[in-house]
Amino acid sequence: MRLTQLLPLLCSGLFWPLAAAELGPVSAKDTLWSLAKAARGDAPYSMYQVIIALQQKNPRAFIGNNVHHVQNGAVLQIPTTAEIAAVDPELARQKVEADEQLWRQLQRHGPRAQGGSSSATNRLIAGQQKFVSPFPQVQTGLSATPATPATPATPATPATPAIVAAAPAVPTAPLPPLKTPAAQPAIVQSQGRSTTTSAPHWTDRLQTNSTLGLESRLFAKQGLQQQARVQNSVNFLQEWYWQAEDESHSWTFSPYLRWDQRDAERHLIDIRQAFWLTLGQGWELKLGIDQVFWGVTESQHLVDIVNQTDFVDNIDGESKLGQPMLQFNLFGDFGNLQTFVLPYFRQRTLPGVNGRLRLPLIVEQDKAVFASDDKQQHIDWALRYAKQIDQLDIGLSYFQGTSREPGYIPTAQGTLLPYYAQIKQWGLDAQWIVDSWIWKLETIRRSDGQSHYRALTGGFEYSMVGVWDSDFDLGWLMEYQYDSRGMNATAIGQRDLFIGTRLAWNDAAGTELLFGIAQDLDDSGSRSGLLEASTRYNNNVRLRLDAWFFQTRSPEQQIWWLRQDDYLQLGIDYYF
Amino acid sequence: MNQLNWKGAAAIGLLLAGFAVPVWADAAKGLQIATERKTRDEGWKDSEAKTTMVLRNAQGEESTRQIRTLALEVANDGDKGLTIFDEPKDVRGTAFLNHSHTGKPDDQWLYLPALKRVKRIASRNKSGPFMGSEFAYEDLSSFELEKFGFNYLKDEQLNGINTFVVEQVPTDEFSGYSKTLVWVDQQDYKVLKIEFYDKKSSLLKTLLLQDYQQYLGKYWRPLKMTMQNHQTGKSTDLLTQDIQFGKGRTDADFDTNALQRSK
Repeated sequence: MRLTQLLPLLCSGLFWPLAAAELGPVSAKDTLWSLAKAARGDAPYSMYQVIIALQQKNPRAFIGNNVHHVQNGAVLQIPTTAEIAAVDPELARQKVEADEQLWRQLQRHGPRAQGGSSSATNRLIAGQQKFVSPFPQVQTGLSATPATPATPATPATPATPAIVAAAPAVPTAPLPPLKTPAAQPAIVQSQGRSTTTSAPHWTDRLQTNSTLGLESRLFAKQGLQQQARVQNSVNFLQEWYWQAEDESHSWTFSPYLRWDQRDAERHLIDIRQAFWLTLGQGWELKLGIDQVFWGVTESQHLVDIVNQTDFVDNIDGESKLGQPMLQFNLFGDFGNLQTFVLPYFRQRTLPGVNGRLRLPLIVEQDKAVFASDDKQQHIDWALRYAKQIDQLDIGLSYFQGTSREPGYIPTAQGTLLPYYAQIKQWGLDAQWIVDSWIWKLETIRRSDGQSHYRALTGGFEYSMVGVWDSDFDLGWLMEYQYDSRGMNATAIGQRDLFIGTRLAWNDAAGTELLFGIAQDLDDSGSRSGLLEASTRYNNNVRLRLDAWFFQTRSPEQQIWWLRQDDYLQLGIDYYF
Repeated sequence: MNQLNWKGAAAIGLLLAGFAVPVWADAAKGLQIATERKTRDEGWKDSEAKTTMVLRNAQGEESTRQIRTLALEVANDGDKGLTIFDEPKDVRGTAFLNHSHTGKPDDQWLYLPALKRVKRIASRNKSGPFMGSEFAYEDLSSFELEKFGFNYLKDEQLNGINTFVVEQVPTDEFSGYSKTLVWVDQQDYKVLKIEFYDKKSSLLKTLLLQDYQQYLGKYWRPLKMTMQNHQTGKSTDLLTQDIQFGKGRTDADFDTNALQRSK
């Protein structure tokens, strides 16, 4: 067990006795002194106190009663706060320092050639039980005993180092000599592998997180193309993050896997993140694959364009594929300027033949047509400047390259080919905070060389805290969605009003709910709605309930093709 | 009759004086204690800590949270804080950035790791619970003189320690409290206990601050804070495991770029 794995255990046990009551097994290379050195900084109790309390709680785990000799494989009982507090800090310091001095002498003079075995170590420990501890038990009052000499009065001899040196510590209880040959190898073994100033291992700064998700979609009706009503899927997200000790650079790697019961197009192996990030004063450079979010509104995300949408994951467009990029950020009083070079294009994920929420014709995703001859290798680039002016946040963005949103080319065979145009897009996002109100606006102007259009989302979010004399937070959302292309728009919101409410229980389970409806303002019979609710089952599990419905009587509406696809999704996410 | 009137007037005069003089003195002494408390805690620059929160419901069932907090002292304004959530694991990686202010609402942002999104929060109302605990956001924000009107009430012994009892009335109309009573240790100006009174002036919560440790030879920090809600029976322990000072943090570690980087 490595030192830094021990540390959090030790700390949590010390200051919160309800936590893990023991730590270990301890490996031979660890000493309590090294723990102390690492933890000493600003720990609430002196580490001397902590060490002595540990030793008193675990007398069998320490070889020769020396705090620097932790028994290999020992499992230590963590002392309570009261037990630590009861140790006299000054006496503890003297004992630890005396033991260290002895330990150093052993290193200089002690026999080195012999190896040790765990059984020998055990015999030594058993032998030690006969000795009187240099420190009386806490209950008897540590401060009442005479101070332990800081240095052993008698120099240690190589033959029986631990015993001779320990004797002066307890002048009233002379120690019987211990001459069993097994004793020496055991001590040597401990010395050989322990260091007083061991540097943290690089893996100590590695964070590893995994998430396993199970989702079951239950559709109200059979699909327009007779697709099944139940669709199950499994997904797995792994995250590794490592940061240099001086925090000047970091690595992130995060693969994602998804398997679907029905729709082969929902199978996915994706690298959500795989990048190196380095930063200096006022700048930041990122190389690799990452996800970037731009924007402020809730009902749709017009400005957000760097990453491709993982549409089959969720039709709300908030799930994204990893995007290869070189990103350079400059920040300071002038604001924040982000520059992106995007050397590779990812196609949107779209449902397959057996998938739900799809167009009536089959999309041949492997035959995508690109406006650029460079196809997916076209180098896109993007800029975003953002500034916060007191209660106002403004972002201005520009993108030039392959459209993230496909158009469709009908073929003679009755299929569709995705078409990715070359576009230029200007974006503006702004939000203004006024007391409990946040006013939000996103607007874009997009052109593909032949034509252009404008789109806008604007509205507010209003938050109420502690409604109905409870801890509940209640939020209201209203956003107007506009698209200058009208019914030809590829987005759902051409002239729609989104009204939503967000409810947070503020309970231990972190229960929350979002419900919203987007009503078409030109067609009173057309609307879509969503529900997102979730609650925590335990420290590792969150339960989710999501639902969508689509209502229209007009074949001209985008959602006409989704009119059979109302669904309820149950999800379990397991975090480990 | 005249005599009686005179006596009556004198009685009323004494009564008025008896009320008026101490009230005037109380406010001045209250501010003086608060100022001393604030002054003694100036100059710590920046700190980092690991904290465990133990939430307990009325039935005694517990759930825990693990958080890491970074704090930056800001002169002449509220401090800056960055909180990174480690547990429960479904919120791991979520981070909360707070620029607290004295004369205007705080600036607050939340980083949502699933969406890689920094979301600004309307922070006018800080009376809501922090992570479902009995601590409200305002309970955890930095102590600033501008946030309260002060009134010294009395001296009192608390567990054998001499304390000043000071009444604090929030200046922010959006505070969840009508007043708080604060027990300040007379020797080190450590806060040992706070009673929170709701808007209807009934006792809502009691906070006990324990296991004080001194850092940099000057600054006292409680390693255990227990908030008991008297109206719901729920309580929260805030247990700090490891505080470090002087890591050389700057404003750049407390902006939205840093929030996005936080892990």
